[in-house]
Amino acid sequence: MSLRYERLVDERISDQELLPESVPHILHQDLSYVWFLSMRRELRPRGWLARCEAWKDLLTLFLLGGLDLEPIDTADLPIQELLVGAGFSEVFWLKTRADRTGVEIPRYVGVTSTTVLVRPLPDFNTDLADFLRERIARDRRPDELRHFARLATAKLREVASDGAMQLARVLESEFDLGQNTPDASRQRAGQNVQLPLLKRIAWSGQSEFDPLTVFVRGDREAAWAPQCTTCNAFLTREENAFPIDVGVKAESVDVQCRRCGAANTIDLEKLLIWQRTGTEVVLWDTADALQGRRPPKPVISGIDVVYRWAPAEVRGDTNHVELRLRFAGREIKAVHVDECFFKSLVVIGPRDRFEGLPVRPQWLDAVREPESVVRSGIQHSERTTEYRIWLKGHPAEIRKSFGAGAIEEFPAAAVGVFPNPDRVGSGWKLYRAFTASAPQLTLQAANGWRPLLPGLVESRSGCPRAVSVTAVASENTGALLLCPGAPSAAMAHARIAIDFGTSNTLVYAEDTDGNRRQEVAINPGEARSVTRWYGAIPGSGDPAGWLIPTRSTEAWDRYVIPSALWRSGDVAVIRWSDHQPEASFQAITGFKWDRRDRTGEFSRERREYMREVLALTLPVLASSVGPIKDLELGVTFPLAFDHEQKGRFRALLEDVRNDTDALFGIRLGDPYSISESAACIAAFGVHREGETFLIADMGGGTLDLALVTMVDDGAGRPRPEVQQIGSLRIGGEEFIRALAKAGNAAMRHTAEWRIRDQIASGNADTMYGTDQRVTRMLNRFTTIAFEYLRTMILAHREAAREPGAIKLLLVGNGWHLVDAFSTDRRAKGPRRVWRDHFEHLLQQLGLPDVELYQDGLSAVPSKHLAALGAMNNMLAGHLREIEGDSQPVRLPAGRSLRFASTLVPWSRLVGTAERLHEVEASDFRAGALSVTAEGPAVSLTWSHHLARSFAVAAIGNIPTLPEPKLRQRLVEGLRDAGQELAIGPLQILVEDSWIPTLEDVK
Amino acid sequence: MHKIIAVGGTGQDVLQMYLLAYLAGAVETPFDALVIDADRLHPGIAKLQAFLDDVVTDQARRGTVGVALPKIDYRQARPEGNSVAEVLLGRRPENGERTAAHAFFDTANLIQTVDRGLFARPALSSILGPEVLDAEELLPDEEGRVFIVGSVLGGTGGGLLARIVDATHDISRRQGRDAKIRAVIFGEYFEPSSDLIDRTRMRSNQYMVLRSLAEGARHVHSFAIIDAADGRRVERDSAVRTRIQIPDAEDHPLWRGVNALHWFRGDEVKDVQQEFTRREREVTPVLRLDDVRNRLARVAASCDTLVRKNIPELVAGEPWAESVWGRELTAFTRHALRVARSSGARDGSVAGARQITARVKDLWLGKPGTEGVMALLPARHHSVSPAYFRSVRWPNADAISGTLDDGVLRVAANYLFHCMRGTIV
Repeated sequence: MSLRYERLVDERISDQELLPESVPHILHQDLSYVWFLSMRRELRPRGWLARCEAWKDLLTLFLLGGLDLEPIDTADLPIQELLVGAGFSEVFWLKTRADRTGVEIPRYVGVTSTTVLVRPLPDFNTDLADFLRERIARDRRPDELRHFARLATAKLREVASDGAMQLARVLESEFDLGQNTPDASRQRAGQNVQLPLLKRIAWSGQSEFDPLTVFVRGDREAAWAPQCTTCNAFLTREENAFPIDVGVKAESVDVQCRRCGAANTIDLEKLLIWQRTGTEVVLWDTADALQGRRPPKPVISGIDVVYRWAPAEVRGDTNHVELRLRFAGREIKAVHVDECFFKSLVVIGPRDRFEGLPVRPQWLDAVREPESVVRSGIQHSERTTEYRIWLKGHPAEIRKSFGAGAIEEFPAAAVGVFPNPDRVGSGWKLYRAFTASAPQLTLQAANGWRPLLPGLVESRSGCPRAVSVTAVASENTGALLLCPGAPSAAMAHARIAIDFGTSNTLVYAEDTDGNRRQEVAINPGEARSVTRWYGAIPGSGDPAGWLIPTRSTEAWDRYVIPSALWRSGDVAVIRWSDHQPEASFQAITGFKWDRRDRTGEFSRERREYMREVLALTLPVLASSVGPIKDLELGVTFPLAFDHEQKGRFRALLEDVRNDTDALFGIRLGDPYSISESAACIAAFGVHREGETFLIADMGGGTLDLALVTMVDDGAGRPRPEVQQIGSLRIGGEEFIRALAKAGNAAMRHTAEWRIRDQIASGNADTMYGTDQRVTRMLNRFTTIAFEYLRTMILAHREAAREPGAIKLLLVGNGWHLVDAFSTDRRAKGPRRVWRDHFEHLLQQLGLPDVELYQDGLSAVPSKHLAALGAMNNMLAGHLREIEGDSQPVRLPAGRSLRFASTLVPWSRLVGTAERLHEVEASDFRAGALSVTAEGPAVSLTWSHHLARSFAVAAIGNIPTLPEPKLRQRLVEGLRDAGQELAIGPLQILVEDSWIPTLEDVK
Repeated sequence: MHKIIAVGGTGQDVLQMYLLAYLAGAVETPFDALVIDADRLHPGIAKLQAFLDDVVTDQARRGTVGVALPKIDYRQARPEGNSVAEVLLGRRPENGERTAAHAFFDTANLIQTVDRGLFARPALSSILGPEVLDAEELLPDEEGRVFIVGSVLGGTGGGLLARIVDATHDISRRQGRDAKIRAVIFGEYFEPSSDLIDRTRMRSNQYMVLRSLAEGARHVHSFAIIDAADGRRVERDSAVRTRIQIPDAEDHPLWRGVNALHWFRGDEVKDVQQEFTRREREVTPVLRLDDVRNRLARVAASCDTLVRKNIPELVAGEPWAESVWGRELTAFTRHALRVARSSGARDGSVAGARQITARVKDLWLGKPGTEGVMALLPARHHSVSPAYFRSVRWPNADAISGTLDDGVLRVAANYLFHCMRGTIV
């Protein structure tokens, strides 16, 4: 009898919209699916066709192992009570897996179902359906799907409840399985998933469920098992059989076949084992199928690694399913291969040329031939970068792909390794890696590097194999940059000469040009070409160069190395620019001398500075002469060094020798040393007998003076005979300090650095040149120096029987402040400005037969003379002046002195080389002296010039020290034992009275 | 007594009519009714519930002077919380958040408010906790006969029908009884309206709930499906019915539902059919609409006369009462006066009778602000003769013994109740 029910329920519903929430149960979704899936497709409601297809796709992914199960957390939620009340056990989210590139993140696509195994999320839409379809299209393996679907069907039929049978029929129909049973011969690896299957629905109270075990595909094929090469039997053992010992660092293990007795060797790699060291064994875990040769996932049991196979994987042998390897004395670690790689890739510079590896630094040793990966294992496409990498102990190539979402690009950034190991040889120990233009990147203290700064690491034991760079924001985003190897042992013999100045330092080296040797200044800018760069190489003028100089071509003198350091703790680097490496770093300069007027002792800074200078310049030299084995060193030192200062300088040289050996692997002979003044003389080589030179070397701290006459050395060759020699405390730094004092007192220190930087970068003219006050300061500065030179010349002429012409040689960058600050510098050129200024001064002196000497110096700046002289001394003079006593000083007093009744004229030379015989010893001891205003006669032009420079009406108004104070300073210079006067009154006036007036210039 | 479970609005509609049919004497045997609804109890049922409670003089047996009375219980099935999601999670989920609830319900259902019911979504009934059904209330009598009336169209009926079947069966079994559950199931019988339910959802519910019943509700002994006869759906609004409206036509779905319920009550117990579809029964109408309507008209007229003629007072003051009003009514009145006195009524027969009459008026006509039972019945009344009152089978009031709380009220209620029932006891 057909009544209403059958008509209502069985009538055609394909046009009806049927809503899951019409089912009065919390399982409404599950029941809806099973009802409609149980219908023939043509009878299903149209609105459910897409859902049924999505279910099918979801189940396909599930059976083929493409989904992860995640328990739905209902703890402490009211829904839990409802679920428990309905008899539920655990329910799982179904989510897709992240692909290995990391581009695609897991997506929640469904939940497990008590009626149809899995079902899409209730918030179903076409987007989800499309997504599932796309995943299926990508991952589906039709032949395997049927296999696993048949397994599931068989399990359902074992359960045999109405619901299970119904679902089995659905699976057979949907997956076109027919009535075939699973193919037992096609064993595949997988995993059992336990799911509750609805047995009896309870609309009130607890429903009943049958346990159902569904076997789904694993990530890998059937586990590979080692087989005997002779009889093909599996080399597995009984459970808990005695372990097979594996030798330390062995790459294979010997196993005897239990069937035929043949000896077999199993490569540990096939078992995913890598003996990393003698004490550490790595057991790789991987999701890779390994081309079907993947062993079962082993268990680590103390020092044993146990592999266990399913009987089906060893031809149904239920007794011999185990292989137990023992690694006595070693620690076994299970490591997922993904741990070896960064999750996201840092790309420095243009990506299509990027050669970094995605390997975490601590796993570089696991990579087989990383250089070959760089050569041929990287493929950049428009959106992805893919690597093909082999790991030790891993039997298959690993493909690591990074998509757009897993790549962080830094196109303007660079990482440098200095020096490039291929330039300096295997003995070089001190290496640094640093970032440039990359504040978002940091370098890792790994592979032998020690951290100095976030963007700077250092090694003092040779070049590590690689540099690891990571994003500041995440250590999981990074790259590993392989360093080149050092080619060979060092063979070259080299010579360098260093003029260690107060403000700047110069290094000269003997280079070879073919067979011709020549002395050349080392351009520190060339360090860029001796750096191994990764990414965008900084250009000249690029602010990236804080460690390796990238000075502009406008630089004042591209060869000079600033005698200044950035320092923080035990980290010290040359201060190339005002780019402060980090807030803790302080700029330091003026450490050449432990000056009497300044507190502190700078031996540490000097050592660090010399280390930095050599670390920078030796690789540059090595790039032309080859890796250096032996080194000769010539140095200059201030003539004014006293005995104690000389001792410290000797100690410095000893430190340099030790550092050169320890850090650069270079043997350093006993250094040659020569005073800066003598070096200047030596620099311009051989001159005619009878010629007289006044060499005035003004650096940052001192004005070193030497008046020499060329005389016959007795062998027919001219040699310089020193008439006057000495040193004044006037230098470029005095001018800078005076200039900085014009500003805010609190900012004076900063202002000094700014002025120095502007001078070094060649911008002082535009910054300060238009200020007339600066011009007047410079004029007074050079006038003061020239007044002293004038006195020297006139004193010499008074003393000399046949005074001849004097050639004035102005050496040092102190004189070049004139052109550095001149607004005419760019129009006339610095050399012309310099020459015009000093020729004008010379003209104002009004002294006959005094000329500005420039012959032979046009090729090199005058600052270079000391370094050149040091070079020449090393080649020809072979002097080691620093070993001897201090250079005797003799300079004119400049102003007349009276000891009791004895008059010492202004032209009288005083100093450590001069005994004042004419003074009574008692008068000398009593210090009964007074100073007169008498000095050398002044020409009218010079008199006017002096007055203008000091902004006074007449030279009598030029500031002077009060007589008591001047007298006190003179007395301090009395050396009773030798009846010596250390310095004359004019020098005291210059240093203590005239130079301080610079800051008063209006 | 038979257990009648009226589920949802349709269930209440049918129960109301069935109660009236009972009061009119068309339905003779009392019953134990349980109303389960997300909405409140219909006011008409509530009024009758109160009235019948007033009639009770024997609490232990739930009856009066040898007569068992229908019992009406009500249980509201409404979740506590603002929305489905809040009920399930105890909090409002963040926008876009994936919660455990999203594994079971789609977002449209999770954001559904539940403060006014289940909004035609049967699945939402699953968020009602187990306490929504009380085992004691569901327990049938010794015979185990249970009759469930409700629609599969809405949220409450559609959501709870199957659940009530299961729960009733379970509690009966635990009590060692064999529940024989019969169901009057309403299908698509009314015209959908925008404020009630749309046609798509109504049809979806009809299909899915009926399938649900077939899938799991195997404890239904037999059932009848009531839907629109010949496709003619009736109008229905969402307003809660205050007056009991008796349909005009015999084939009105609700009346057919009343008939089906009454038919099932008289159905012989047969072996349950194995196949669910074979459990559907064809109902033969046993209550004639005209008869019930006539009875109700008579009830209204007699009660109206009882009140307007001050019958209790007349009986008490009539020297020839037995001759005029008959022996049973006179005896009943005299005993009623005694009961009233023992309950504190004023002494003196006339005074006591006035008090009783006043209470009868209150019950029938209502008091200011409160309608009486009269409001439930057809409006047009006619007077009945004293002969009618003589024909009423007044109970033996001697059975009302002892002291009653509020005796005047109960006596007055009995006057009305027996007047309604007439010759039926």
